[in-house]
Amino acid sequence: MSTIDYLVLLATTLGIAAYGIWRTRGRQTFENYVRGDERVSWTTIGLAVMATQASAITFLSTPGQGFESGMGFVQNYFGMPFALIVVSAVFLPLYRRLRVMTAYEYLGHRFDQKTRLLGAGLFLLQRGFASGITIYAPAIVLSTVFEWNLDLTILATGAVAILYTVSGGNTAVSLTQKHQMAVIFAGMAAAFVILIHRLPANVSFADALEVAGGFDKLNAVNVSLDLNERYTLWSGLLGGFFLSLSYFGTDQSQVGRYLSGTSLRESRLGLMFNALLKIPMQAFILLLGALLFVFYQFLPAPVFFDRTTWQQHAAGPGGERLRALEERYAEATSTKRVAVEHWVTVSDQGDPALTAAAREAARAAHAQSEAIRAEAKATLRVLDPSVKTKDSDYVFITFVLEQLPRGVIGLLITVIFAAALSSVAAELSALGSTTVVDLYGSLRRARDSAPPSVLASKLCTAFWGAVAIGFALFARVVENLIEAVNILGSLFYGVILGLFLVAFFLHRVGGHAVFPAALLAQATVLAAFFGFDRVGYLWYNLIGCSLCVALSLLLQTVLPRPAGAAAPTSPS
Amino acid sequence: MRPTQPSAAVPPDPATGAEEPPGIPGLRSWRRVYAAVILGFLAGLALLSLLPRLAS
Repeated sequence: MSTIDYLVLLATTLGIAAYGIWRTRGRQTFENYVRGDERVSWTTIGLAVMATQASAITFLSTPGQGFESGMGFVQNYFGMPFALIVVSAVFLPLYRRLRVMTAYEYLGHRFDQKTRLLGAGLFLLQRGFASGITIYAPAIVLSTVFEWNLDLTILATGAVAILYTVSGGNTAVSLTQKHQMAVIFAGMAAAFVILIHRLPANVSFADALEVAGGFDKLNAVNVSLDLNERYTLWSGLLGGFFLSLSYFGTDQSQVGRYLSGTSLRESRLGLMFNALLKIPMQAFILLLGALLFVFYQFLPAPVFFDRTTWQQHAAGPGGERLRALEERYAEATSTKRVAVEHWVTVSDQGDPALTAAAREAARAAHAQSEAIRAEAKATLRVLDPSVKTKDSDYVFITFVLEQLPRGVIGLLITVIFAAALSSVAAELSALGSTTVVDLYGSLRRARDSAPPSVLASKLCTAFWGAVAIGFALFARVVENLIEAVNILGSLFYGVILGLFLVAFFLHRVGGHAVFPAALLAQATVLAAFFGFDRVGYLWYNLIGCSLCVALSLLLQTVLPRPAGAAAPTSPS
Repeated sequence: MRPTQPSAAVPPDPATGAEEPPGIPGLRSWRRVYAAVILGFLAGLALLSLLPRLAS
């Protein structure tokens, strides 16, 4: 990176953080620190909800996903619009009517304090770990590519997020997210335009789409009923619906975003903004990845996109095998380039039979080059079993560093930091709010009816920032960490969603039934996972949720209602 | 798109003064917005399904 890139990165990142601190300076009350100042418009809410969900790894990994596997990953988001409609129609009005600060406070209103603490505790457990990964995942990629010190990268990212989140609370998070999303949109649009511009002169945008389609990179919708297929229309609609309902409806990092709206209408519009635009945004990033694939059909592509790791091993013992494979790959991609260029030429001439034959020849050449790439990864793994050979996270960053002009590189690295900061800040704010409102606040209220102080809120947020940094610093010792955190989330998310579904829709079930039901469901999920882990971890979301709901109904029937307890009432 | 005004049925939201109809709060008053979102999703789904054919 050049000096101008570092200037763009530091000025933009620190400038937005300073803006958040400046706009929220002055006297703060506990309520406006935790909930926000309730002057937030729907555009800010919409962008903040989007920024919270899109972490740095979204912008590093998703183009790589499009490069490797095409656009099928977009199906994961197909259930989201429907989940957001349910959150907007059912969850949001009740949260606002009761003027709760956290989602778990609602469980206290609807059931009792112990159920509220259970929901808050499950959230803190899984989100506390996840916030460490939100910092660690981009830091590992950026420190590898730029040869930055990993610990310093983690500390710098965490410190900036802590600084403005602790200083300005929920309002600072929403305000900065709006500007961070503007930087993200500008950066991704610039990358897209430059990518199209850098294609060979005889390759139009339409030609690029045809090549991407010919290599099956544009197959976005898969209607297969095969359960072994990872991304299908059906798994996206059903699994995506439950995941999104749990995430947007019960995860305080999202609930905190839309509860800061001026009115119910602004909050709803913010959610509908995401229901309409999230899928097009993901499709755009995946299309960028598919076009990156096309781009590297015409230009020399590295055999392994994590160049730093490759070069270290190519220069070490046994490196001659890697260098030989690199040469074979260069020859194979050269042959493939000729085949793809021929395909584009005959396609422009409009002869369907010749075009089909040229396409098949290009596909055959691609299969040969991919076989060498697979051999290179296998050889790398033999030389160093600890190396991660999945290099798709490095595809986009390689393009950014090798193909974009000075200044724009800085803008794209800013995109990654902006995405990391926006997600981390929302997580820290949510963790701090939940700790101070649901744990500290409810314990304190037993003695004192006054709300906790702003200082207590700031200390709780700073504490979770320190936990996130600490976890990120030690994350490298855990093998396959991102999957580990996803598994952890799936083990707890289902039961949390079950608690809320019972609260919203099963009005006759009371706290005396739902609390043991949630504990039993959670114990069963954990026993199933550790005892006989036979199903994919995403299914634990559905299992946990269904068990919690079913057991609540059963226990409501068989357990005697506690003496003196009022009959359960409708929350609406 | 502006949502239609609901009829008074349950006490208004103390924060906003907004009134909601009975049943699932907001479903009636915002149904046109939700319908537009679902139609937008279906249109996008059709476009994504046709993308490989449109590109060839």
